[in-house]
Amino acid sequence: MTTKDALSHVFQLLTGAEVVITSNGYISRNAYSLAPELPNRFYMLGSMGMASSIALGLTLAQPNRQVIVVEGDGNLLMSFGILPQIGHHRPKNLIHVVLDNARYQTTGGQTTISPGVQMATVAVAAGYRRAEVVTSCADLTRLMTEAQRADGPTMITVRVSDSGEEIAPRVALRPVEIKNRLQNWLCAVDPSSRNS
Amino acid sequence: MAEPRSDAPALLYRTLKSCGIDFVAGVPCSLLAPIFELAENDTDIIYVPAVREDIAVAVACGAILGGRKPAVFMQNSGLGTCGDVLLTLSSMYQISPLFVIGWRGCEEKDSPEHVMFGPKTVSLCRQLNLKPHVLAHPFAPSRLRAALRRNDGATTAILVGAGILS
Repeated sequence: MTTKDALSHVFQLLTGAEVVITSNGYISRNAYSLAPELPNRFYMLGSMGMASSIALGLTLAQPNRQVIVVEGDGNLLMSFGILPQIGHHRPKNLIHVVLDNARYQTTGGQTTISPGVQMATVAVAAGYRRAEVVTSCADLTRLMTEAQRADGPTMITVRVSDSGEEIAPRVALRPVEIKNRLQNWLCAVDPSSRNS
Repeated sequence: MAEPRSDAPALLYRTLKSCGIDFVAGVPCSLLAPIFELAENDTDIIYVPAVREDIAVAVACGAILGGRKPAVFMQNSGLGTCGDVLLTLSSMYQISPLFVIGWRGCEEKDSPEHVMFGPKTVSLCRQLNLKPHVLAHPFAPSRLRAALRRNDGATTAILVGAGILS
């Protein structure tokens, strides 16, 4: 499974009332290329490691809104303290997807230390309600569906491999446009609506 | 007998709330201890005891996206942790929490680590696109309110030196 496969399978299950926050680098680029028109997205273009913190803040501000953050293993490892921070607040409305390719893919595929880290075990020890590792698209779909129906925070670590993949173009929106588009959408769309 | 507590912390905290602050994320500083205590015990706001200053800033930015009006409380040393998140999240996306920063080392007599950061604090704020507002002694809410009005749109960092809240 590639990063793009994983993102496609996650996005297929969305109702349209969620917010999706993606981390800097290829993950935001891939997410944008799959659905450039959707306003309910926050593409983090800098601030490596901070996507999950933004997601936490949004879950606390809007506890009835489902928030999905998708980041890489390098992002999570950079800001590992976010796990107990999320575990402390235990937002029911958070699904935390970690695309683990054991690489800093965006900067040339350098290795990360993720193969030695039991992320799901750490997440549960830090207070997540559930954390699982998946390797197939079918399992990702099943886990994601279960997470949407259950209270979070849930972590789904997805083993992906991106060698030889075509690189998605850069996000074509200015950062302020990304923010304004999302904020306008958040004001207009009720968390419980199903608009897709 | 303990000295009577200053009313400056309550006054500052009330001023922040009167400006709409309904969310506080932060990493403690001894100079800000009294307002941390007020935030921790305030059931009308959401309080996030952050594990790092950059996480506090990003959580606050997420809360702004969700319609809250957050303040970030931290020590000036936290500016060293926050360079990326202040420039490429808060500043780049124009998401502006209000900052309240304990200014350790602004006088020569402080411990060595604070003396390293103290003299650089005002210029560091400016480098990171924060507009510093130094709280004078005694604390005057009207001056702070006026400064916040003037800074409308800019990200203000209220700098709290030794003795202001004690």
